Amino acid sequence: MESDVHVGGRGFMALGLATLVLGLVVAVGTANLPGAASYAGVGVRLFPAIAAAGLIGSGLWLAVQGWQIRHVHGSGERSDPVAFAAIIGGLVAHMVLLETAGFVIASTVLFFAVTLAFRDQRWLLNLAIAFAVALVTRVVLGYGLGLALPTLLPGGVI
Amino acid sequence: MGALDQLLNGFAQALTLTNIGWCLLGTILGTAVGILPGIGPALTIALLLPVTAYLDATGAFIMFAGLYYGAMYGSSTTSILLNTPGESGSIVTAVEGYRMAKAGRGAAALATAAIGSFVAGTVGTLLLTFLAPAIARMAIAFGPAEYFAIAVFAFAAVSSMLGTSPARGVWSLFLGITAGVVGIDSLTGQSRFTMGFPTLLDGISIVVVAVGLFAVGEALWVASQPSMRIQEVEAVRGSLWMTRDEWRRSWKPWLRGTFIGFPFGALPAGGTEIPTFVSYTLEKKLSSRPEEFGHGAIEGVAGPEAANNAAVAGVLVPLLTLGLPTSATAAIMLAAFQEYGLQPGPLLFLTNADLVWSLIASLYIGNLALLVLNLPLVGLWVRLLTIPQHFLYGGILVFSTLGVYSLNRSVTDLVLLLLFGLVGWIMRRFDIPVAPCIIGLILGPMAEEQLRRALSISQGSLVDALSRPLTLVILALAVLVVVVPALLSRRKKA
Repeated sequence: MESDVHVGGRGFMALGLATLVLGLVVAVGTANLPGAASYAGVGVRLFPAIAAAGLIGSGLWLAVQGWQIRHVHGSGERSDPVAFAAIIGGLVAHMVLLETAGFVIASTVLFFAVTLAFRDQRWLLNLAIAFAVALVTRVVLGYGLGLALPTLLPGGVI
Repeated sequence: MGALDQLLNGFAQALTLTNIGWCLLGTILGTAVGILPGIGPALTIALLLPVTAYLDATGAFIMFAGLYYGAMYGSSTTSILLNTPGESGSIVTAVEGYRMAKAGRGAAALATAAIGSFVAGTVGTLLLTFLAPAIARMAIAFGPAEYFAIAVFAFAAVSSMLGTSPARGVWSLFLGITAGVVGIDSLTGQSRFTMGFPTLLDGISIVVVAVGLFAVGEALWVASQPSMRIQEVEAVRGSLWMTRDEWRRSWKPWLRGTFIGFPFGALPAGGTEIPTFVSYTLEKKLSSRPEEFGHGAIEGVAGPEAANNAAVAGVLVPLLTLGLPTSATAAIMLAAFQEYGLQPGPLLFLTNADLVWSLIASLYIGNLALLVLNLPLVGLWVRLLTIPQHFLYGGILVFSTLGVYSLNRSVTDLVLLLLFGLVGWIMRRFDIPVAPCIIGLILGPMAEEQLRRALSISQGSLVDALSRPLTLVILALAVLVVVVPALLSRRKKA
């Protein structure tokens, strides 16, 4: 395994084990699928079982490779958790707001959250640009292409 | 009717004023979006899919032809001026092209890339024109077992040949296959792993996965890596008109690159990454000035760019004739076909010949449009590269969420988008290739359906199902595709 990766051996072990767990969950789900075998001798469980086996196998493969290089540290820089959280927060807020507060407000919040993630501190300017982008997108796609997007005020632009 | 007559019919359809307009719009939009750093051709097409949903099938596919080549060229421009390849086929272009731009020869690098792309795209489309109908005729004899074997071959090729290690390729592939089993089983109508969400009955959309892995994953990655937040754009310096010497040094690499790239794309053997590297190595070996390589050799841009574009045309051969996508971009194109209720494959040439031939005719037009439009508009493209990252990724995420939400008007899709965004971040962090996941998602259900059909025909006997001569040959090739690179790398290490 190459050493020029962002994460070290322990990271690969963690990913491998997480994949193994996912594979087991899919395997249990597959076993619980109802379905009788047909002429083919196999039914709806065949491919989920292959997928589960593949996940378990590739998870083990990565975990073993990670174990073999467990002393190797990754060469990548540390992730910025604030930036990460800002984008995730923006996406979650967008999901919550989209059907309640409408497309323009939800998209403004998402765009603004991304500018925060990149640590740009011109907050008011960024907020204004975020609103303008969301509004123009709403008008162009809503009226130009006839795309029906949720709004805060029924029948309104916003 | 021969291929030439069919092609002329295709031109007759494509050359209406409206359709030329769609093709030009596709080329411009494709280049404009493809040029944005971090956005490769697959994401460009996925993001613009909702836009084409308002056109009739012919108009939409004509626009796709423009988008397809435009997005590819856009990625090359970003590689040359920003040293940020938008897709694996542009990595080599970034090596020499960026050096040329730094040395004040950016305009020549862009020109040789554009003309090389035109030459390769045109020759590649010409080969596609005559090869595709022949393969489609042959493929009509394919049964479910052969289709299953072809899918296995594609799985083997993408997971062993893409990326840095087979373990990571296989991980990515099985993640895609797992996502592909969600939804209603096409043969029995039974739902699987839908967890009570009606949106999931139709399965996980390829657009959600592609946009999540590429756009959200990239935004999370760039924002969370402080060193990636600063990017330096090289100004385009020099004349866009190549000198006599630059023409002399470029034309042979263009042609060689074309004939290296096309077969790699046409055979389901791992897309554009390998032919571009092969072309680069060959040009370095053949060059009378090998010392210039690594410092901005024009042959190192001309050859790989031609190989990239020829492979891109080649990828359409298995896509149109067998319904087999061998790159992430082709997988998205397949999804676009499916949105119009069309299933690419040999029968498409019989049932929707007009559409297929107008698409092929549009590839010629798109290629020409690229050459005519892109070089004069280079100033505009450079401006796009100077958009600050926080606005760029803000806009990308707004468009991504909009595109995904408008598929089903469902918040569940947005949740999936976020989940696949996190997976995309993990893939970047662990250097895992994205393409196997996309191909697993789109080909997994096809492989399952064909295998179960083959087993039904053979009354449940796997040996009988897979022992037809052609099936065995394809499966043997799949084994070779896994074993040969492993042996070669072991020999290299020894």
